[in-house]
Amino acid sequence: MNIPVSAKAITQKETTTPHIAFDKVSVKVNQSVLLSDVTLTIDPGTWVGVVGPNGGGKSTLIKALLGIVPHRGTISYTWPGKHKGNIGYVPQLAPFESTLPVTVLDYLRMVLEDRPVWWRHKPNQRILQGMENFDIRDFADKRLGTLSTGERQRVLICGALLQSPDVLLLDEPLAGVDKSGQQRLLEIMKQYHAQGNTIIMVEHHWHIVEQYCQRAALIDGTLVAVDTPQKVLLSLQEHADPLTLSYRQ
Amino acid sequence: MLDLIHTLFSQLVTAGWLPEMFSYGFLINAFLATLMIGPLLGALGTLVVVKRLAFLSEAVGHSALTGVSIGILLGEPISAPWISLFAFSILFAMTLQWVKGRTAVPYDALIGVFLSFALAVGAALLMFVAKQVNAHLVEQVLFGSILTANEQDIVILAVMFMLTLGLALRFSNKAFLAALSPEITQSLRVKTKLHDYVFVLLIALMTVAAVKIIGAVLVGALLLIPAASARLLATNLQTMLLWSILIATSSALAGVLLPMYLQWAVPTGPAIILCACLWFIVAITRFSLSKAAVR
Repeated sequence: MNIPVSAKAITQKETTTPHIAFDKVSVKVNQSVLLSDVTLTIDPGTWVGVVGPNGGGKSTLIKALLGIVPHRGTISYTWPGKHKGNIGYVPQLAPFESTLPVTVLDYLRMVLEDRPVWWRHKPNQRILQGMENFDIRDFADKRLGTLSTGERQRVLICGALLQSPDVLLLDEPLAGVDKSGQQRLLEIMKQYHAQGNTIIMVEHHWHIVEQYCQRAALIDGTLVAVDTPQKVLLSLQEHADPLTLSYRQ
Repeated sequence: MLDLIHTLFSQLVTAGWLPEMFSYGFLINAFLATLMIGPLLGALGTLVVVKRLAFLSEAVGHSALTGVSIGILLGEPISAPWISLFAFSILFAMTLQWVKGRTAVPYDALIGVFLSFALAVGAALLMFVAKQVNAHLVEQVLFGSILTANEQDIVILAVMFMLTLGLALRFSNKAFLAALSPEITQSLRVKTKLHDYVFVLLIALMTVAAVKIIGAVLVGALLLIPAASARLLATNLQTMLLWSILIATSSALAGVLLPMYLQWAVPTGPAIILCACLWFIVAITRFSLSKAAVR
């Protein structure tokens, strides 16, 4: 499986991936503090695994980064060029109704095209090529809600990557996906990262973070630790807190 | 332009190509209005169903009743209280959307509160209105009439048609995507809140524009039933939209023309909605049979 490599990805990637900085970022929703005082920098081209216990604020961190939850403090993207690049996003277990007649092809056209999905039936070449590369062409006419979790995640990642994003934000992309499906998705991400792009991925499986990510950020209401996955794990063992460590299982 | 169309219809009647009833000017107006109401409500209805906002369309429809009552009380023409009708329905829909973003009350409960308020105000004002005007006119507002569509209504509907088509051509993909996943849509730097406001505004404008033909009580149903039927018949988003437009337009045309042709004393609103319900029965039967065949 080859992920689509746009001309932009080959020629400009090193200069278009942004430097990301959180400065004292806090998120409060309905009187409860979900994230407090996070200061973190992410260098261009880094694959960061965001780990931590359930309810610790990992997804909130991603949403704050997207600007879809209001926050205090500053989150800045420093783009190397004049223009802002794209950010791809795959949400946590996006549910789609099985009876809703929205197909995989409909979804990709909605994401990538401005021309109405009801206007022209033939999709553009980029979408067809993307479906081929992500091995999802066979279920192009299947409804989104009838896909398996692995198939659906592949479709969502395909939609995100076809925008040629400079940063990919993934919220538990492997949740509910079987082993072979996980391998396929990780291979896609690995190829995408190899092109010099940034990935920020919320992940529960520690062995995946250790194997694939260059840095791990441990979030538990605030930023507890950020370093290489091995060093974060080591610091956890030194300051063994059963509540914080429970997610490692 | 409208005179030209009327003349054309007269010639077709004279030539025997159209039934005698098309020699009435009011029927031609109602026919033209229906040709625009059907596709507009059918198309918007698909988004109503995907967004699960059926209750909203009902609420906005019922708010038109209050708008009409206010208009008549303020001295607007009984057959065209447009200023109050548009003003109240838009205010109703925009306030609902604004409050939605500022409260933790679930949206369906909030719509229920607004619907009850609009109905209560509308019912109370109707009592005053009924003393001032012929009760039959109030009935027309509630259930629609083919007698009331005039040139002004056709122009308003034509403007709505062009506006909706323009917005749909430019923004419908992202509107459908926002209905499926607001978060993914926001990640594409689409202003989903603005989309929601525009959508609710369109619902309010369309409801008001269609209220004279279908009536305040049932206008929301023509946003809902064709799209709900289309959802059962369609295989993808394109066919859902086409089915919805076909069902809404055919129901609206049948509801306007059949009672006239067969000389049944049925208001247009109920006739249109009964036709749409027939479509729904067909759709649900076909869906059940195809499901049974798969098993």
